[in-house]
Amino acid sequence: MKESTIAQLKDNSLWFDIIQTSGSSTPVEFKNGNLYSVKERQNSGTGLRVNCGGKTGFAYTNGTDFDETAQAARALAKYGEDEGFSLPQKGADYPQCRGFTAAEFDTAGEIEKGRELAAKIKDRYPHAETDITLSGGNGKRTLTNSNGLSLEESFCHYSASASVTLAEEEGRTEVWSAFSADKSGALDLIEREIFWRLDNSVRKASVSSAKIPVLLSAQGVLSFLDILLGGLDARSIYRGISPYCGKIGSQMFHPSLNILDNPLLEESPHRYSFDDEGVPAEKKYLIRNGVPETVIADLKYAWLLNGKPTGNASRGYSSLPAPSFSCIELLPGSRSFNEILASVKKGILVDSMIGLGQSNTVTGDFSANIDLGFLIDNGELCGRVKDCMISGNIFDIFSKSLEAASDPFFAGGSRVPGILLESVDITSR
Amino acid sequence: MTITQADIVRFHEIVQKISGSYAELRLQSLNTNTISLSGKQIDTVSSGTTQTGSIRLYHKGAWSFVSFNDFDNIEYYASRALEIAGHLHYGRDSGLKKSVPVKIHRKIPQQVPLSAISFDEKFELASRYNEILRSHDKVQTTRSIYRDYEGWSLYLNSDGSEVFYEKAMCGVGLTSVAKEGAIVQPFHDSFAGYGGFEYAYGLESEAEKIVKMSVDLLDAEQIEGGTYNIVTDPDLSGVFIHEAFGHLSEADFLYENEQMRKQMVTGRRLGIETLNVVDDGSLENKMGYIPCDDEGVAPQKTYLVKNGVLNAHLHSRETAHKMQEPLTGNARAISPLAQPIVRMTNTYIENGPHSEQEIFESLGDGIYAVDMYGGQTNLEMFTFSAVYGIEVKNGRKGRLLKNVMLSGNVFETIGSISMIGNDLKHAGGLGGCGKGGQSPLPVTTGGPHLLIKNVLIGGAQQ
Repeated sequence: MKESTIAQLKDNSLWFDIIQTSGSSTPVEFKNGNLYSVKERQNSGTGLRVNCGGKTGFAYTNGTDFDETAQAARALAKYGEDEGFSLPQKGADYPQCRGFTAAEFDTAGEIEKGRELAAKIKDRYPHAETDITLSGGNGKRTLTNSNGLSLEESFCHYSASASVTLAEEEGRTEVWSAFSADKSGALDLIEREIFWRLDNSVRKASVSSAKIPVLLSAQGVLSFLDILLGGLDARSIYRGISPYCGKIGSQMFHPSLNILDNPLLEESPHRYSFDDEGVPAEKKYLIRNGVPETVIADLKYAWLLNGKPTGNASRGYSSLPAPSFSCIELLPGSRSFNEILASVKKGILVDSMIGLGQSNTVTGDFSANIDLGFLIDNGELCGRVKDCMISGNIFDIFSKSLEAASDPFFAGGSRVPGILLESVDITSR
Repeated sequence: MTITQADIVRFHEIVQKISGSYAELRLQSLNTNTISLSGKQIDTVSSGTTQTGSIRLYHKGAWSFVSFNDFDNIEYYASRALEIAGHLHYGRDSGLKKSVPVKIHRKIPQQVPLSAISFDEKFELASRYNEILRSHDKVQTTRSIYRDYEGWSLYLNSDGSEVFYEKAMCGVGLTSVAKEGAIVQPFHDSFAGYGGFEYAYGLESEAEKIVKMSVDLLDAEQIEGGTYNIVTDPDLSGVFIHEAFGHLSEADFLYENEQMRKQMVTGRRLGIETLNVVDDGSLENKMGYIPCDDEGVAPQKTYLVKNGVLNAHLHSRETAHKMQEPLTGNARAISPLAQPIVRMTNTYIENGPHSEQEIFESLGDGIYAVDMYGGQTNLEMFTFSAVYGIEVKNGRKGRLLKNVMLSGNVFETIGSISMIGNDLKHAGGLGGCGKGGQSPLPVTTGGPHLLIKNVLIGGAQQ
């Protein structure tokens, strides 16, 4: 950042902060088992938030026109809101984010790994169409503010995903698996998951419309968590559109439900020691024993609700901060996923859904097509079910008896086990 | 950032120096203004400049792709693209369909130039809409978004094509969230177009409709899950054909999969004789308009379904070569930072022979499904969330229904369209389509009223 820009902001504002992000990544893509592309992506930018006379303006650039950008931010401040919070001071105690390693992305080696995985899938399912993406990258974010705070954190990430499609007489089966980490890893997990899903999809089964037990895989649980946690942020609470309004501290869910927000989650490429406003990261319960406990907040909404920021402010260079979850942990139960499966007399294992994202996140009402689901009969998977929907109210469903499995799945940004739900509406033709 | 003719000549030279079977350079510079108001709050008032670029090289049946935002070192990124091409060993034995080189310089006209409107006026407009959205005492919160951008994009390829596009966009997104007790009901609409401020003003009556609808929906009843005959309104018809069928027509899903190609073979009867489905990126006043696609191919009107029969697929140069079919001008990228993939533009069902009244009379008992929150498909099954439904008995509209989530098999449902209306309407605002991590790509969807038999709707079991 140019000294002249800093000087301009110091002389003409109540406070300011500047976020700069830069990063590069190298995705390798296979389509239908063949190498399709190798990319190299570089991107960087700067966002300036300036408070003049109590009101905040914001401008951004991914060039080097910092003085002009600062002038634009100052000019826009008159339209902004009155914001009376203070920016973090120097000298706060920041947790250590241990374990980050420099990204060592060996493009030729990753191409070989992808080719081998594609060959294994082709060997078992000759007509399968396999797409694979392997990507490594690193980056840096720096945060500077008018209190003299100057923070810098590097990160690196590796992600792998595979999607396999099998066309059938009328229709298709598509399965996928993905993980991310802070360093390059083997693709064994992806291979295991892909084969588990494909092998169980070969047989077909049908289900009648009914209220029946549903066993969500970890992937299925992650889809529901987006809705379940959707309103547990200070902005939604302040606006009165959160299902958690007036319910923090009350027994909303079954006592076996425990969910944490953990920005320090080991091995996660998304972990951090300070948020995008410079507030120290901290691990906290969002829901403890079925009781909502913490509302995540950035500086602005913590101030508006007379609360404390929780280290969850998130932004890119081109946007203002907003409260956002970091890494989600759902605490495990005592029986393994397979033990729970074996105990279900009649039900459905739901692995993925389409249309869940269109649910009413405020009321919790949802209705989605079961994209990949299997009939459970006497504790065994006995075929893929299609042409049926899962519906209900998520707050209602998670308040009734539920059991989390003991073996959580680490998906990079989250650590979540499968969950058995007692009774859920299934609509079928 | 501005660009001169001398810059363009220099960039042509860079592209010509890249060895390989085919190379292209894309650059874009945009200035964007955003105003977002929510309830009593001012969410965002921002202004920003972004410049993005990429170089793509086709070599041994695969792509080397380098993206960047530093326009001072384009020669360096070109050399990186060449180095990366050295890794391309396991590509397919493929090629690219040739296209006649084009030279297009296009400037979007603005009736009310954005540069002539002060930020004060833009802010005042967004505030006025927000006040209308907040005007009912049952409204819990609102969102009034104003966005505009102006800038340019440049496309050059090694065949000598040159597309210089001076673009401008202006639009508004309006949301009202009504609340009564534990019931919360949002309603949203969006308005946008390529041009100037003319696309943003004069929407006061639309804002009033949005408030009324969100409040009315508080009284909507929960639909019972089951199989229904339905009528879709033009908005939902458009999203249905985009999501359920348009994506299946994108040849990058088909070109390497023999079984999928068999399902989507041209000549296959899909529906009734009066069913015609079109994709047309050349419609200048629609959000899916492109002067040229991101591989230098001109857009065109493509009949995906003609007289009920599958007629064509949408193509990039690569998929057209592989499937030995004509180019359609549908290789699109959300920005130069992304690689072009096969995408729709303005997709719609053409008018059929029936009036809305005839369709409702034929429905008898069923559901009128109106507008949409969104839709998703896995290319076999689809799910759409209608904003609301209306119970229909003996062709007459009755009680309001909520949580109307439609689902089904794509081919079965297209085959179940039994009547097509004559009231085609196109829709497209600030949002767009998502695919391959590229979202929102501007598109429009369109259609008339449709009567569809036996559609699965999710909901509670009584």
